[in-house]
Amino acid sequence: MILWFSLAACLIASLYMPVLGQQVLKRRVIFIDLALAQVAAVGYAIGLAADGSGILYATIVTAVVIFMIASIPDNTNLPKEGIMGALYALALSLGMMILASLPHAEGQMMELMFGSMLGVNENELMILACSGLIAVILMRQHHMDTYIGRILFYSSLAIAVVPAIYTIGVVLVFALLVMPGLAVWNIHTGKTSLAILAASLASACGVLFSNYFDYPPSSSVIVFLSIIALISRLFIYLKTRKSQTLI
Amino acid sequence: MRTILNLSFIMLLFAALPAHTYAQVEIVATTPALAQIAKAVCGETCNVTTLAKVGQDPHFVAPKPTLARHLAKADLLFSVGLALESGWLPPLISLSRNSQIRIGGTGYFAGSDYVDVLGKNIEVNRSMGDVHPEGNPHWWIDPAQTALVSTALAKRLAKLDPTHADIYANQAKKFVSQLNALITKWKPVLKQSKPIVTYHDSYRYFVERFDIKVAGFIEPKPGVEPSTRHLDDLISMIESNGVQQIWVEPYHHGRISKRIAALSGAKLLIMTDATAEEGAAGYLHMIEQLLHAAKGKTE
Repeated sequence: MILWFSLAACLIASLYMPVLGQQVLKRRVIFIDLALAQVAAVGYAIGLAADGSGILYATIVTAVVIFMIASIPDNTNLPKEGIMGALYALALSLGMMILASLPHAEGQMMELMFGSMLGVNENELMILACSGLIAVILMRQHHMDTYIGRILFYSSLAIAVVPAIYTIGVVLVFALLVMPGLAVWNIHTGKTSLAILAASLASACGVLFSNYFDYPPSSSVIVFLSIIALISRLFIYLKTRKSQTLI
Repeated sequence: MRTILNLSFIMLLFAALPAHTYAQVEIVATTPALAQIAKAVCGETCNVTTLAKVGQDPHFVAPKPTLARHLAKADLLFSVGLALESGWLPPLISLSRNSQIRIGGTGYFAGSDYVDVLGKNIEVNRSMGDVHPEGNPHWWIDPAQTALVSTALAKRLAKLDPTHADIYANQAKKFVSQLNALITKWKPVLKQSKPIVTYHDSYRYFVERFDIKVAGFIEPKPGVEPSTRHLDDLISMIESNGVQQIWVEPYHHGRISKRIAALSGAKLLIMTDATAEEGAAGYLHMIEQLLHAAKGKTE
């Protein structure tokens, strides 16, 4: 049962993380997923500290941060990756400061930031699928570098990433966002489908490998993602070289 | 006039005595349970401060300046030992610049030096996860081990503060008899209990003391995510062996434990290893809470 639920969680995430990941790579804001997840965790901690709803506070704080970072245009002179990194560092530090006064909340915070596919249940699979679907729909709504367009972009990422980190863990979410996109980088046709195929294949192989050889599943999936990305890059390199030789 | 002079002389005599003769001994305990043990032994003659808070994972305590300040004025540092605090305590000791509480100093007291250590002398390598090679450090949830430590602590305090040596010895004796009474009362109650599953091997001292059988662990290698196969096998084992309880510490992975409990039908119990109450009463209450929870499965 644990095997099939873990596999389902990974496959669902594989269907939309690579789609979002391509936009993340294109806009060069790779740390945004970690930053948004950490911001949501800070909001959650504030909620716990205020004896309120952690989810409500997480949503409010994340929304406020999205409104702020959306004010930075895509073609800004500032290094966006640096801004995202700084936001991550700030959110992480604030989270630690709040936790220092809430030691009893440590377990909940760790769960929020470092989820595991091994604990996934039916409801969480449903949330994962719905959040992914909403995120992809939102992501497809914007095409221009406008304030509203950027709000839609960052909101879609937050909607997809925050529940996914809780469900399958932060490292795996990061890998599913970035690695399939890298595997198909510079391919001109069918890029999104190939990225989804790479992520799904790695998820299935990784989870089944971990089950058969008794290894941690998240790590196994990431190893398979890396292998597939490397093979893909090698194949693209050889194909490009061959076509250049023919010319 | 003569009376005033006599009184002044007595007051001067007191003022001339070394200040520490009357100052309370400052004990800094690394965990809340150790603070309870220290308070049980020294009573009101000592001031006890705790570094880790209730609910905090004692393996990972964020270093703060206040913690170093507590250590700076400590006469005695009371730690668990066996590398439980190795990730955060040594830098704080260095930062405190208090040479008395450095390892080997007169003010350094690791409880593990006085217990019958379980799980030591095993061959350790990185594939086994975050294990403690010197032995299992979770001795404080076994009242018998706590009794050994309390007696040793009283002796150490007597060396540091000879004036109150009798108080320490008497308090420790009283506390040890309370601990022994607890074991005598509860051991027969839990002897026939059904096996349990725990998150890690953190309850080893407690389960061995009360003859409770542990059938398996959710995370057999500490800090290493278990495989899907291990967890599916664990669920089958729980069902076939009639395991009725899964024990986890408050700071461990709740989602996986909840899922295993939901799929296997076993009851998930948060077995705390620290409570906020002070002294002997606080410690005994914490152990009784564990014992009552464990008894739940035999009813």
